[in-house]
Amino acid sequence: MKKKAGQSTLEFILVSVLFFSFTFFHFKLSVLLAFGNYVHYATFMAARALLSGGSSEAEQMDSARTVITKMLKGQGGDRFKAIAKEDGPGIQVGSSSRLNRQERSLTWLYGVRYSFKGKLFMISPGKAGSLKDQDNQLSLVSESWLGREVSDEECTTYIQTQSAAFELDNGC
Amino acid sequence: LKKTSRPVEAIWGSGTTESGQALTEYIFLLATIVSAFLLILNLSRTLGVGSILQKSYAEPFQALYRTGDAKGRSFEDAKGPNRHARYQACSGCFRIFFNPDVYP
Repeated sequence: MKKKAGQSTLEFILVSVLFFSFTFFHFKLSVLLAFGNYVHYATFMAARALLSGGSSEAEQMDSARTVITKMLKGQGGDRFKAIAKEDGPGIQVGSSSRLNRQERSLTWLYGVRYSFKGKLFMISPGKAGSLKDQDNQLSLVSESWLGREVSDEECTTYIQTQSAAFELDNGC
Repeated sequence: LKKTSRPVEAIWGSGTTESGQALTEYIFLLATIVSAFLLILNLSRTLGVGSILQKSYAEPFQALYRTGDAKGRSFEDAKGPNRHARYQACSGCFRIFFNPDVYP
């Protein structure tokens, strides 16, 4: 062997696959966690919009949807698609399947939910495809249940059912 | 007596070196290491090590992200809620965040 320079290059290539895959794993996980905090904030802001009074329930839901869409979506779909993408039902505004208006302990399940998933490994540790897709994905769900105030429409409808005389002072 | 050449020179002729041996050994060694590495990777894929790791670190984190507790379960979970901020173990009880005890 006249030169040994090729040996270190070859060893570097072998080690770098592992080294960079774990380095980028930590980087990707950190970015995903930071994005997760942002999604929590987005669902909370949307739930606040849903909570606030409006002329009708549909308008309250539209407001919530507008807020979360503006924060998480862009013109081409997901706003931060390099970090995470919408998963399953994606944005859900309204009631949970467990909402029960008759049972007080289950009346609060009304709000906003966002499901998303992000890749953990940017480079597969080893040869390509050594990790199954589902093992490389972290699926997360962010939800904010703040409830909803009755809308003007619902309030007016309720008042009309009462026999006593009411004076509407926008206090619904 | 006639002077005889060394055994290596007798086979390969004069002027050859033994550097090829180290190179051959290095290739064999490298091939063994790479084969072992690929074998472990393929075996881990076959045995579902990724799924085991996913279950051990991803599921607690998913619960932590959703409910604020690594052992938490949402109200929509098939097993029912657990360690949830709004979970009530009995009628009239309430829970302050993730305190393990239920306050009357």
